[in-house]
Amino acid sequence: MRVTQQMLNQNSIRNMSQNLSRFEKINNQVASGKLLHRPSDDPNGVSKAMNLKSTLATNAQFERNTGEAKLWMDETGQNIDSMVNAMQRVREIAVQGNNGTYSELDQTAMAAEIEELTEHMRQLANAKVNGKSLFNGQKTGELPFPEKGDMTPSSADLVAKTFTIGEGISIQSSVLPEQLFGASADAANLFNTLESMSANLKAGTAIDLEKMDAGIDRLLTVGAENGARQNRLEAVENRLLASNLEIKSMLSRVEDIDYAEAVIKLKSEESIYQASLAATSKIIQPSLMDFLR
Amino acid sequence: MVSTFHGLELGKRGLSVGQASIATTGQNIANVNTKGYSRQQVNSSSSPSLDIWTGQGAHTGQLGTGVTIDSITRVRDRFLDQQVRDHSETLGQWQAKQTTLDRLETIVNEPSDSGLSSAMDGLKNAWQDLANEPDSLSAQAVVKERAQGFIDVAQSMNKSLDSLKSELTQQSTETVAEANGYLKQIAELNKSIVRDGSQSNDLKDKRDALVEDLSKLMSVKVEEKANGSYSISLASNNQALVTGEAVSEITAEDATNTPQKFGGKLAGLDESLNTATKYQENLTTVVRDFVQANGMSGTSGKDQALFIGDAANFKLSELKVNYEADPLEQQAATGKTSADAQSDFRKLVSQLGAESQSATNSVANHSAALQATENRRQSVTGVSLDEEMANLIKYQHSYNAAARLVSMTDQMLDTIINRMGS
Repeated sequence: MRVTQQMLNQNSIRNMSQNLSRFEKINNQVASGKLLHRPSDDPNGVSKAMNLKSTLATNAQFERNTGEAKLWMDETGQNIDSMVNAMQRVREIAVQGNNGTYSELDQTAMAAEIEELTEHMRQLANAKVNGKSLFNGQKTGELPFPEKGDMTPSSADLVAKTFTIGEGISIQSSVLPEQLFGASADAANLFNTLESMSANLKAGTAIDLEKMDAGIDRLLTVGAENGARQNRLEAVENRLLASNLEIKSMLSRVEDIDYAEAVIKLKSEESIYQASLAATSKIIQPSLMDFLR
Repeated sequence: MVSTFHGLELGKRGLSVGQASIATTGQNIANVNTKGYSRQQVNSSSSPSLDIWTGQGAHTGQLGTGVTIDSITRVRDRFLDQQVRDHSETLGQWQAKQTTLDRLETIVNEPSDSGLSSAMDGLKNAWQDLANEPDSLSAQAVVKERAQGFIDVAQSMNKSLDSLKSELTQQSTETVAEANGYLKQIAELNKSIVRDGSQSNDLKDKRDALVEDLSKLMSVKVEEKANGSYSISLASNNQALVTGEAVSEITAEDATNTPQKFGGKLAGLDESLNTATKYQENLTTVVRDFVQANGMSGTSGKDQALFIGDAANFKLSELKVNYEADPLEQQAATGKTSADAQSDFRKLVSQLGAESQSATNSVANHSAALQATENRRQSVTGVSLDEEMANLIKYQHSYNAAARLVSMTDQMLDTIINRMGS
């Protein structure tokens, strides 16, 4: 094949620019640490990376939700513990009162203490977390028992507060007044029991300890349920963390460069480019003119 | 008998061929870098001989009279020209498409932390925060701001797509004008070439260069007439474009209505426009599905919907956030979910990526093919400086030798004229 100067020139330029553009591409990858810059770099990989990033963002939100749910459950548990303690004191008084050996004055004092404890229970039932009512279902802006002496929950259609902690998974993070204290119409309702206790003490009649014990049992049961949910939440949280790690490493496999490999490639592209420069400078220079005198 | 001055005449002819050859070599050297130039060569043959009596039987002898220049022609291969034009046409078409897909990738801006996908994630998470704290005014405000952020990204993409489309239309009109310009120049050159006779090398080079430029824009068939003029017609349907001096111009309407018959960049631009339109429609669908999943007035029938837009006649540019909305009053929308819309968007991105990747590969393939053909053509028509220098020396020697013949004849004549008498 007959070769001309223009051919040499054009082919050299073409080769140099191809080498330079490959050099630029790998340089860009090394500098940014990312394998994917445009959809066309790897259409499938880009779509996968977008999906993984989306999942990461969702997981981060779920983690925030679990944190919040945890706070609510811890508060719920602590408040129930306090209630149980208060009720235990009530039970002591009740046992004392049932002895029948105390004077009317003593009985009145006991009734007064029970009334104080009842008020204490009401305040515990009105407990707040982060300024939100803990035991008022989803109506966290209102108190369940706003009026002293009125022990009927303020809202009829109470629904427990829940948090979404996974795709399609939600967890109840607080308990409802009815679950804690029993239905308000029921005679076994804790507040009704407390009321009748103080009335019985004042009247000097026997106190029904069974109702009392049933109330304490209910508190303990609800507390245990809450504890079980806390365990479940922890398991979900651990799984979220593990899956985050898994997704991050998958994302990294899809979109991050392998530095060792990339740097070696960068070096080789660099030397290829330099070789093409050197070759071009040699081939373009001499012609017959340089030797004709 | 041979004329006394035969040697002078023969020498003179040699000198003039030498001179013409050196001048042509000079022309080749001077045009070594001229685009579209093909090397020229002097075609010479020995001039008609004289019959002379040689005294050897009945046959006369033939005495050479030197050399004559038959023609100065360019070295060119019509078939390679046609191949170059074919490759240019395909390359022009793919280049137009690839450039557009490249732009589309920039507009879509994925994978990134500021693209539509992360805007969708942002809104999705804002809903969750609001669910955690339903009566928090700040969580409500965040939902609306995230919704606005999503609209901002989507609308800026939409605007870029609009301007890309109008640029493509503009480019198409300009390309038609450019092609018509080439057609007119080719017709002008036809006129000059026919007037000059058939050996107007430089004009022909210019015309071939123009035809080549034209072939990037559209697919043409070239036929050389006996008088040297080119007839140019569309390759797809033989529609005449240039016949001798006559030009039938193409119109922008034709180029948009029936782009496939034009081929080349014109078809590429039109396909680009379709591609951009397709992606804009797909984007609009994704955005519509997403906002419907997040509540849009008109679909849920509630004035409390987060977005304001017309579902039946959805326009991305008219989408707004309903700042009056109480997001808590939202109802779950029917139809596609946010996750569906997000997955549709991912599909759009990977489809765009695949299309762009294949266009890039096609451009690389076709430009390699064009380069190879160019090389083969260069190999025939290109000027090699080494070759020209060697020729120069060769012609210099032949010129010198012819000059020596003249001076020797002069000496012979000097002998006859000046010395024989004395």
